[in-house]
Amino acid sequence: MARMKFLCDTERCIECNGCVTACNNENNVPWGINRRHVVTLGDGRRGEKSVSVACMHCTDAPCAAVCPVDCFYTTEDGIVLHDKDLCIGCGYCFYACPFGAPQYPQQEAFGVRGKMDKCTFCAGGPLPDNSKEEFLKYGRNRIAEGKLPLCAEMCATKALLAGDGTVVSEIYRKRVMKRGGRPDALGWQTAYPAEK
Amino acid sequence: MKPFKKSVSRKAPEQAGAPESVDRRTFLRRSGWVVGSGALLGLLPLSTMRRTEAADKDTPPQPGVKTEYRRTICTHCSVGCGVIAEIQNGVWIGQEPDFDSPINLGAHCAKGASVRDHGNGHKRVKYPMKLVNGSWTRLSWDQAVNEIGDRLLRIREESGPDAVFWCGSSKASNEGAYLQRKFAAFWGSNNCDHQARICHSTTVAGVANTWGYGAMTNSYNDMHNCKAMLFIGSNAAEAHPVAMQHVLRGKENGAKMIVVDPRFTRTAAHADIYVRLRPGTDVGFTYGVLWHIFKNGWEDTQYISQRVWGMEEIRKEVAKWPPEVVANVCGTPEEQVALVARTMAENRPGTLVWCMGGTQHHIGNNIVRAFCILQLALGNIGVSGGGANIFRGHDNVQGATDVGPNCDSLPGYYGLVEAAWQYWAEVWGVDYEWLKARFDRTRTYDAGSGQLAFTMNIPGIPVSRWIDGVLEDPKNLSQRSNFRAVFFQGHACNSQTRGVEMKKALEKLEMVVISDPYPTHMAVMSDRKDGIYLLPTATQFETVGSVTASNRSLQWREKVIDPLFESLPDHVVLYKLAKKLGFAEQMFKNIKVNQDEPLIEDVLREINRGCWTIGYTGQSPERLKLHAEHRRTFDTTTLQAKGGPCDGEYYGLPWPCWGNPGLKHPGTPLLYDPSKSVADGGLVFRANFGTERNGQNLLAEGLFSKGSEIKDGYPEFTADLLKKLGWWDDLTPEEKKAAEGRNWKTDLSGGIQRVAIKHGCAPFGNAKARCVVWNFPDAVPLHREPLYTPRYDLVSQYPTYADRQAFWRLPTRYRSIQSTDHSKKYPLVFISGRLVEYEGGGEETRSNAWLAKLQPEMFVEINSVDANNTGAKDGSYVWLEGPEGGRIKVRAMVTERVGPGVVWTPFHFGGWFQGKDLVDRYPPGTAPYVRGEACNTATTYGYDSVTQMQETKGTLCRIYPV
Amino acid sequence: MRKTFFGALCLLILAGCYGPVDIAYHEPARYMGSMDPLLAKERSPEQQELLLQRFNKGQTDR
Ligand code: SF4
Repeated sequence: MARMKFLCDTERCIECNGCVTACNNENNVPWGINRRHVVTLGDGRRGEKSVSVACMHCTDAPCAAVCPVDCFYTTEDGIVLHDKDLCIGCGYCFYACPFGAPQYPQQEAFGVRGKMDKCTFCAGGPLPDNSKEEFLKYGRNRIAEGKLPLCAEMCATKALLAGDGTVVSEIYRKRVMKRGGRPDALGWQTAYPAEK
Repeated sequence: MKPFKKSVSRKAPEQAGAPESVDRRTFLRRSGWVVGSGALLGLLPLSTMRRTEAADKDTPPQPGVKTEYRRTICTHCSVGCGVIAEIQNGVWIGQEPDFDSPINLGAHCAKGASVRDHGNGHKRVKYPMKLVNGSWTRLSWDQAVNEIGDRLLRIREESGPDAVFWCGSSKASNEGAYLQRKFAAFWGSNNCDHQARICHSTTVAGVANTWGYGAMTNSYNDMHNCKAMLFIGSNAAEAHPVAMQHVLRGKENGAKMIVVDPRFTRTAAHADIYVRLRPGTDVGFTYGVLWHIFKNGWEDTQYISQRVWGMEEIRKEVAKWPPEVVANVCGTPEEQVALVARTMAENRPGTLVWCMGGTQHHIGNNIVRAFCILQLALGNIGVSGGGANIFRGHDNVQGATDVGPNCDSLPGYYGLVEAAWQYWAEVWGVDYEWLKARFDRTRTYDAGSGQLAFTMNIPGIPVSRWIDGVLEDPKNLSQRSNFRAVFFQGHACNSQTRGVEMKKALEKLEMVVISDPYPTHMAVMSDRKDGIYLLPTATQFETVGSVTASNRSLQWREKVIDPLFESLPDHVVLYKLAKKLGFAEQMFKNIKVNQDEPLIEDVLREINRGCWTIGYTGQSPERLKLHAEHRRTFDTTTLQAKGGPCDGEYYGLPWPCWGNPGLKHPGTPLLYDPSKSVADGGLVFRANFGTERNGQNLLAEGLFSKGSEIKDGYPEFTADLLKKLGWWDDLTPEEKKAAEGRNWKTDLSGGIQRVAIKHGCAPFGNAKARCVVWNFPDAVPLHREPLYTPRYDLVSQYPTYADRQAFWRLPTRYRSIQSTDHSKKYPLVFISGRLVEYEGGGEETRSNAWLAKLQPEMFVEINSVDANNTGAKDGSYVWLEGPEGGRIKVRAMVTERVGPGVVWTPFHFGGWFQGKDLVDRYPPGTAPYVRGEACNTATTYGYDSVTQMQETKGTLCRIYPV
Repeated sequence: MRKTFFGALCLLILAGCYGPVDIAYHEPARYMGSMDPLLAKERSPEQQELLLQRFNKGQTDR
């Protein structure tokens, strides 16, 4: 069984935000939030590096561990999803997540925190696949359609990869070997805790 | 957001001790507001309203409804990424990656990944409108066309046809752009232009005058083969993001990547070598590199002796640029220049990429020629992995330059001489005398350098100077009257300099017509209360047509959705106007018109019939559609099809695609590459400058393309040459009839081209590239200080030109501007550039919700040294004031990205003017989500000595806190 | 009589206190929401193959 993973190759990421708008486009992300961010370190200086970050779909997901209503589940492919009907928008998962992935759309006026929203690896949520309800609540379910997350599929430089962890790491490993450098992809260790 | 950042820096301990570095997004979040977190900042009503508005138009995919897939090309830059649109019931519901496109392999940048929002069109102009007493009044199309037409006819009657400026667009399709040029011709004026004037006009002129064609020589894909890549004044990571896929693949293959730029760009972040230079000193820098090359004997002597003319004169000039002089003028450390030279010399083939950092100077033509000379010295032109890879800007700026509205030429670079007009009259099937009579024949005017000519044969006023066409004293003009009306179809005015004077010009005009999907900055920036018309015009997603990417490949666009609201495509608007003005019948003689809609395929066929000079003849609509369908079969490095119905052809038939479509020429993937035969896409340098100069041979020596029967240089092909060579009888009887007395450019049968190619020859001859362009103001490219220079001490040594009386119909000032030293009062160099999220004047992209939320505010990058000196605090508002008095209110972003003494702003903003948000001047519901100061409100005078390119990469300013 | 009534009342009240004995203990991170049909789909080898092909088609450099 595949284990779905994102990997952002910082040697290729150019901070073009294609992943961010692709995600907005595909998932109709609520106004005011982005499920994916491009973060730049050392902005404007030598050694500047950018990396595109969203939910890393951790093997041992800290968000799920702390959720007071247990609305998280992990699919067979290792995608971490949640049930918005259970979510109470408490914000605890935001603190637990090392990547700041969970977001809370401002539901009404006066900043009431809405149900948590985060990257679904384009796999929707616990509603009938590719139904209108699923789309409106979670966004498009590409996995069910046999496709992969649009952010990675549209990445300008193929820096962001999304798919089975073994295939992804194989591509990345080849690139690193070609470049003769060492792997420096951010977040890889967290997402793959000590490959048991 | 903060915890997010913190956790990331935890993962990067090497950052821990460094001074806190803030990226520009965090900066904006801190400094003000981010769309959506507005509630905290009292912007609540706006942000809630926007959300509702966006939600109303949600178009979820419907399960069980048939989804159609339409394929088009992204409209936001010249990379030419394929876009696949998912359509249900005529509504654009999704986008899929176009994996099969050999250009982008499915990839997009922020703009391309968000084009579907254009299909929602929340902020579009929805119906024709005019401004009456300060308020926008709805009109029907018929009313609008009649009113505009009547006014135009009256102006024509009173002041002649040159009193109207017709601004076309690099965002139009080839067919739309071609019709814009043809329209101006049939109206009777050369006063038409488009964005190329202010983006790469100096490149086109400089490069074409060096070796034949002023276009990108290789392709993005070919950069996989580079051993070195030198970017000067190009920030591809933001301006051509998907090109970086190929650039980084090249780098992974081992290429050394060098970025030379005043600013440490996102492209520089990926470079092996980064070099800062002072804006406007590119000639000096390039000669500094050549100094090392000549000194060490690294030049390619065989290449130069066979293919290059005039290098000796260059050597003399280069000798004046030893390392210490370069260090003084350019501010670049000596060892860095040496390193660049060594890297380029040791890693061949290498490519040189330049963009507006190189072109937008009053000596832009010198700068681009210096770049060409460097590549010629290294023997890097005409080889895979080498080339002058000039990344063009807008999605169809290459095509619009080739066949569109240029004030100095008819389509296909035929120029404006009488023979050119006669030739095109023949192609169009109209009587030349009739066409001539459309122009102002009342008298002749100074065509520059003292000769007199009719306006039909004098280049029109370019878009960079249209404001002077309005404001200049008419007795100084080489035409009868000032502009009394302007028609802008698909062009943002905030991309042109001298905003304060532009406002005056707009207020002086009788009529302003804006044919655009959006109202644009032009509709709001002036205090006019009347006489502005807005014509809702379709985007390229709402029509069909072909588009030429930077690598000269033509791609076919399918129509994705029907025009939104009451919008009409460019060609329909032009047809309606032509009908009203009374020349539609003549203009559309060869073109089928269906209910006011000219048939696009017929327009392309007319282009095919006429544009022999640049080989726009082989790309028939049928062939282009076939390429689109079978795009998967093309190799992603060579762009050549392997198998399938396009076997052996190059993707998009990159021009020149010689001969008739029936000749099945595969297109030319690399210009001037003699390793292939001409029939297979090989080429040599063009013989466009005669055969000898001062007794020296200008033709190639001992160098020819594969399979050439003439084993040496040769001049361009004419009927006479064919006869001399004994090849005349290879023509069919019909071809002979058409070819008699003609040459490869004017033989409408294509016979001369066919026969030349049959014998392995290039129709345009086989010559040397020339380093000395004797017909330009500086035959040998020279460094001259910018008109507004921070190094006034260097002016005496590197002065600008003398003022000119009649240059593109206008007096043009050089010395009289430079004679004042502004550097004391305005000590900072001011340059501008791109943000990845926005394009051009930005009206379209700032109206795209997904893009707008990523870049909510205009800002200026300023070094911490200058920030401390000027009192500009990070995130606070400052005034940036130019030496001509225009000033803009922007947020300061303190960063090391720019060096001390230089400030940088993006150029995509508009909708503010000198501190004031003009939101209430937009027609209701059309103000873009994001508005801000147009940087060009503060920019200054300064125009290239050949093409009138504006000098925006290097003026001065001062900054002070608000 | 009174005693019996009181006793009955107590019984009655106590009876009201009865509830099901299998109490739901909170087990951290045990999903409590509705089933996602995707889970079943993911198990099919065809679906896995489809995703792998998709990856190779789109995310490699070709
Ligand atoms: S803007 Fe350019 S790079 Fe970005 S998707 Fe469009 S064509 Fe590609």
